[in-house]
Amino acid sequence: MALLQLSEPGMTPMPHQRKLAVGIDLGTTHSLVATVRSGTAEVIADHQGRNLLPSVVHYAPGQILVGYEAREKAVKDALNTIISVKRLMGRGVEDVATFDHRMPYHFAETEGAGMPLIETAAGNVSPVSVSAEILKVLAARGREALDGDLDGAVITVPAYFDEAQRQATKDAAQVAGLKVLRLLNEPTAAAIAYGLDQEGEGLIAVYDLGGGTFDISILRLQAGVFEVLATGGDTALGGDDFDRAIAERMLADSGYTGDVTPQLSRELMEKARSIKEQLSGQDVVAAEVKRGDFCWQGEISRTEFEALVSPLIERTLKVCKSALRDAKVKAKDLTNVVMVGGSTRVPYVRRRVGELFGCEPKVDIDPDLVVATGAALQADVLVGNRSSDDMLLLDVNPLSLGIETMGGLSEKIIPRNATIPIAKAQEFTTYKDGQTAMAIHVVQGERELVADCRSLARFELRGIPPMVAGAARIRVTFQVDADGLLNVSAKEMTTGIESSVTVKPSYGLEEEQVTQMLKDSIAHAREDVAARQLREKQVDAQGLLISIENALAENGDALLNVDERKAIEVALDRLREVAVGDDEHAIAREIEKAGQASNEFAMRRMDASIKEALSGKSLDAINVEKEE
Amino acid sequence: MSLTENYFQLFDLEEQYCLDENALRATYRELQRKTHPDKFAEAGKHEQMLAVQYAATINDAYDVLTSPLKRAIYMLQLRGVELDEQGSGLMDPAFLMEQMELREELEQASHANNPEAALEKVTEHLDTELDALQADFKAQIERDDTEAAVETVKKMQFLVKLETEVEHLAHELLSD
Repeated sequence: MALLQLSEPGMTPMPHQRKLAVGIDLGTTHSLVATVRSGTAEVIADHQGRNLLPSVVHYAPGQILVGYEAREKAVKDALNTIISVKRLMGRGVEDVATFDHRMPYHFAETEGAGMPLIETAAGNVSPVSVSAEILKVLAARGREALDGDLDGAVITVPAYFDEAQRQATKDAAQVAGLKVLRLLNEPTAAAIAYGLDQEGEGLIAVYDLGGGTFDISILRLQAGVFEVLATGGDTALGGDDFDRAIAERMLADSGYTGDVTPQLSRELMEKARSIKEQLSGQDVVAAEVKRGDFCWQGEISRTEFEALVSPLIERTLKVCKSALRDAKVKAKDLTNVVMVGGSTRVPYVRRRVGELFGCEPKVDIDPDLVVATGAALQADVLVGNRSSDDMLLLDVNPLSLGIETMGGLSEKIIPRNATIPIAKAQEFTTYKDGQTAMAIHVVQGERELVADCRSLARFELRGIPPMVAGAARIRVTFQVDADGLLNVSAKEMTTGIESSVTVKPSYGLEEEQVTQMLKDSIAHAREDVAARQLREKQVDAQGLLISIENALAENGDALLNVDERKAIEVALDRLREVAVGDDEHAIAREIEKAGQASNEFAMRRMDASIKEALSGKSLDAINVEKEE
Repeated sequence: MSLTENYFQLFDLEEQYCLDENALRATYRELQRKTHPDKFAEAGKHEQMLAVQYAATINDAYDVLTSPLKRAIYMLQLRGVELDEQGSGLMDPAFLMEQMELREELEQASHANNPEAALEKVTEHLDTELDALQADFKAQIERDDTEAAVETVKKMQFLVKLETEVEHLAHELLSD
């Protein structure tokens, strides 16, 4: 059926040029990539037809293995085989020390409290670079299946991921050479995959229990808009913990008193996972583990397993109740409960969740594939292959953001569950006469005391003119973008002195480090770094040219006078000229200038489209747009 | 640009206290459809930043307009009265007495046999009082009695603060 094509400001109507985009689910135990082909989202399998890629990376001198091959080394070479790296993302050395269970790796001694570095046979690796290895394999899968370079990717993160964890994920994508279209929350991705927008209106709960993380999101769906009302979770609770409960039971049962070596620990966990999976289908499983002096032989029944994991499930249910309260809805008002994540295969989990929400949870889509599928659908919209009029996601900030005030208290600036993007400002003042600098400490979390919150970043505003205490007016603005990433700026209002930072957590990576890692990894692939960067700039320039040209053609006449139009066209000509050349810096400069030159025009188009939206709001919005 | 307009104008609404929530939500959705950064994922950096600003302003406007307390404070602000969100100032003794009673009720609720049900009762109690205050505010603002409206808002702030405490307790009960 031929559909009438309508363009919107900001959209590039290029019907002939389908863009290549993928959705990636970067999971704790496994990862996968999906894309939209002929209107349907599908997971891209490897050459053996396997959809999932175990999130396991093995390091040997001069060789990196990812996936199944790496998992085979997990027991034999535990120290060089990194599993569940997602649990380390955005975490500091001091966080890792507080984990409930020890990880087998040797962490390198780093100066101060930085990002934990794992010692391997191939040198020290950071969680970001381990994740990047996984992403590279998935990106290659996408390129091969789509037969071309990817225009962008949507990467999913747990809804309850904090700022540091999100930033680490984005850094990993950058190191892997991917253009991140959006970081998308996993439960939201699942809601899209279920095509619930086709059902019209409703209240949806998405219960997402993965290998290492738990999320619950409550969404309202109306007229194709998914509005997240509340989200909650636990970024350190998942199916791994079910396995651990079984492994600990085997260990206790065996009466073994010797050392639990990394190899033994891995083997117990592997066996536990297999027992758990079998118990989904049978009532009792007999098993045996032998390694060195350790020997255990026995049976685990389903009832026993359920008793072991019951406290863990209980924890998730309490989080669900909290989320319902935050969303101001009752369990009985929900129209759909969607189950996501491999751990929801456990029948006991389904039963308990069903009891809480008083309805049969939806499990039609394979819980391992649903998130990547949703991410692919969103990626397709974001690159412009599908009109964003069909579907819009309004997500929230999962944890309150604030700054430290006198007495070590956290003053919340952006509350949790606030719809993003969001910008909020608050004014603070000096407490000493003649104070000329102010330290700003950004924290995330719900607790009153800064010490109980997560420290995100510290920066200083300098050059405040000396005044009596309380006279200066420092306005601190927090802006959270659609990826859930924070930008903080501070301005002294009486003088206009400004200071701004993109929040980079102390245990995160600096911009240069990311670039360096990218360079290293490209060098590894024997590709020319400069050529690649130039190509990227050229692509950016082409994209900008097309988008502004289209905008001019569409409403340049209506919104610009001759001179204004001329100024934009001149900037575009200059950009066009340098874009075919090989001066990367000149292209970057002209991109910036063209952007500036058309800023006012962009603003007018935005205003015009708002007016249009308002004038059409009482009628069927779609009909009105078609008539125009 | 339209971002400088007041929030009522931005949503094309009459500047009055009572709003049609469904209509407000429908307008919100349409505005987000036009300005959300997802529409500009492929546009240039400047345009993306612009979209973040627009969408953030629309989110803030929606937040203010849908919250009875924030909307009241905002309406007073448009009339040149600045009230901070924390609330302050003296109030009539009868109201303060009532507050102490409510606070006591809350205290007892957390030790009750069924604390969840007891908290629910406090919430209902608060809701009834807030409804009454909203009706007061509506009438006061309509007859331009700003002074009385300010007093009403201060009372609302008191009750909303109490409501936050109820929420806090409820969450604590759930995270035990």
